[in-house]
Amino acid sequence: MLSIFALVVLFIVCVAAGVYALIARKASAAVVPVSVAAESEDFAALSEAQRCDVIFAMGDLEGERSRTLLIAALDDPSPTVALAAAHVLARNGCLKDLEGYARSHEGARTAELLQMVSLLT
Amino acid sequence: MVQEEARDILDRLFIKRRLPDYSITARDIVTTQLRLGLQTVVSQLMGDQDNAPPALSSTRLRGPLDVPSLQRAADYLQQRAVESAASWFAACALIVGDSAAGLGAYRTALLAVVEPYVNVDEHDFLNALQQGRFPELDRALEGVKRSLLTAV
Repeated sequence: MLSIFALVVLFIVCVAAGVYALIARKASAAVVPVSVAAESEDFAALSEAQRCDVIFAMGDLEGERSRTLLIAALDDPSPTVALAAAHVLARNGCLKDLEGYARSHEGARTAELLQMVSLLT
Repeated sequence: MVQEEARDILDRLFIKRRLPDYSITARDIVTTQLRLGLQTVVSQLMGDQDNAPPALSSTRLRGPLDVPSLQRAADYLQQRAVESAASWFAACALIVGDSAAGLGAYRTALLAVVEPYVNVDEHDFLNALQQGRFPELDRALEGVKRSLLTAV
């Protein structure tokens, strides 16, 4: 009798853990990346000057989300928008992010970007 | 704080001027925060503690100042709109240095160029920033570079 009761409790615990894992996975998969992706699409639709303004405004905000978007903006097709993002990251003390970007994006564009940032900071 | 705010605006302007065909707007050249900061610094330097907004942080300037220009800057900051050239005139007046050469001479040249725009529509000032050519400022800047190199 006791072993049957223990089995039932174990079954309930397993089901609860499974449901929790499923919900947590859905939440992390569905909410954050989709939201960031949507923001990125909205951002890409703006003009170069507007993208610069958004980046400067994000520079006044703290948090992982703004940092993530600023790092993503380093790859912006416009070198000026990328410079704005690099400048804001440097000003906010995120030099490790810039160094990491430079290591993974070697080339003339990155070299020029870092040179311009060093002029401004 | 004023220095940081001014530097931030100039950095952003430098970046946005790299955009092709970008038109400078009033918000690119001044913010309310910068204007209030300049007003505080200039009022306190001129000893007008009653009209000075509360100090944002300690202020330290080293070197000769052009007091008559600072007095005019204080008046302009009181009378002119935020988006006028008054803030830039005040920022130029805060450059320290002997008038004979180097930074002092550059300050004199800057004030002479900016002051006429204080009393005109702000769009004229924006147009001047956008399209103006000022060889006298270029020459004065060369003088600053020479004096800095001599000092080194």
